[in-house]
Amino acid sequence: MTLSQGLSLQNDGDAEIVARVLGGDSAAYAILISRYRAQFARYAMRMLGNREDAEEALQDAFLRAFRSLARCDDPERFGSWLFRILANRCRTAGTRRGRREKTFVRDEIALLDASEEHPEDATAWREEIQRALLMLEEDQREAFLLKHVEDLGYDEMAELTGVGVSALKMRVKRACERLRALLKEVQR
Amino acid sequence: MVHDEYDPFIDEIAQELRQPVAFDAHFDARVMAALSPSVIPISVHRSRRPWYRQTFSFSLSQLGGLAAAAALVGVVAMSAVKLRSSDSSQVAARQSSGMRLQPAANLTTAASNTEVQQQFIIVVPTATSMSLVGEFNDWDATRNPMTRVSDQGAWSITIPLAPGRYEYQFVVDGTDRITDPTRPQASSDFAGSANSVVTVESRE
Repeated sequence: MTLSQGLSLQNDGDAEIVARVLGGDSAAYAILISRYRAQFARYAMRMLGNREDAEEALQDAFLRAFRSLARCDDPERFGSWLFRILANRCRTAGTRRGRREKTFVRDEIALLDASEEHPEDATAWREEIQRALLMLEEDQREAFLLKHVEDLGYDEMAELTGVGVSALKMRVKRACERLRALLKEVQR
Repeated sequence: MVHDEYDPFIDEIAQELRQPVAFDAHFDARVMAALSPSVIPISVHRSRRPWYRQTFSFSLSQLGGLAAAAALVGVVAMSAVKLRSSDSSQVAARQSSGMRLQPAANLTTAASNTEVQQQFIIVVPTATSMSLVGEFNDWDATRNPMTRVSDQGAWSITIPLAPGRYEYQFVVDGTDRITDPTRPQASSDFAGSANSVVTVESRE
């Protein structure tokens, strides 16, 4: 099973673009950036919780990929390879932030709370979901996003994260239970 | 692949989280600008071909007169591999036709001893056309049109140049001339406008 099967990645022609970049046409890298920005921005945003951190993580992932492009063993699957770099980057960012992560989550929730003055707002439910997502443990949040948002299979998730399938299933299960508890509370 | 039992509530959450997230409109240009000289991938490519020292720069700047048309401008001038002029034409033709490309390094077998492939890149998101003018083409805006290579407005052209010092500019939409903010500038030309300067080094 290949990682790209579970992702809606547009890999057609990636190998040609990678060859151009490796051949010295660095401008062609802009094509890969525009091709993968949207989907990966979503993952980074959901994982890290705010736009600034997400943009920084995705930019860093693109730069790391550029610097390591010659080590991309299967250029046809550049998107999957880049996604793996991004996922690692998001995990590293979360680990590095440590306590700041907890502070950040509280701040983010405070911001979201501020928007709840208008519960009839169409965005309120989405904000509640994002808030609940941020309250998950980081490994549970990652597993939930990979499984239910990026639609990866467990084998693919294991390849990406280096975590065993059974552990990933447990993380997803606990994430779902926690989200259900948090959001059912809101719905009442 | 494992299929979990369908849960409409979880699916509803996932649907919301799948909604697109918009980044800064200039995100792509920022990433391109952050590419630095020390990280040209060709230098570590596993092609087993000799690699060449390259210079690379890319930056963004506000353009006063063109601010409404081009909020960010980035320029890369990069020296890469030596190619014959005919090889350069082949590369351009393949790029424009969408044909499968070979790495440029594969085109070096009959390289000239004097010409060096020089790439120019500029990001002008709102330009409808771009061209390169300089001492190497008699400042003729029709001779080196650039190709738009990304939806975010990156324009590129690669031309063979003999080692030496060249002054150049970019022409936006056939009328406005802009310099490369990341390259040294000559004080002014006879017409009173500044030019960018690129020094092409011999690869011998």
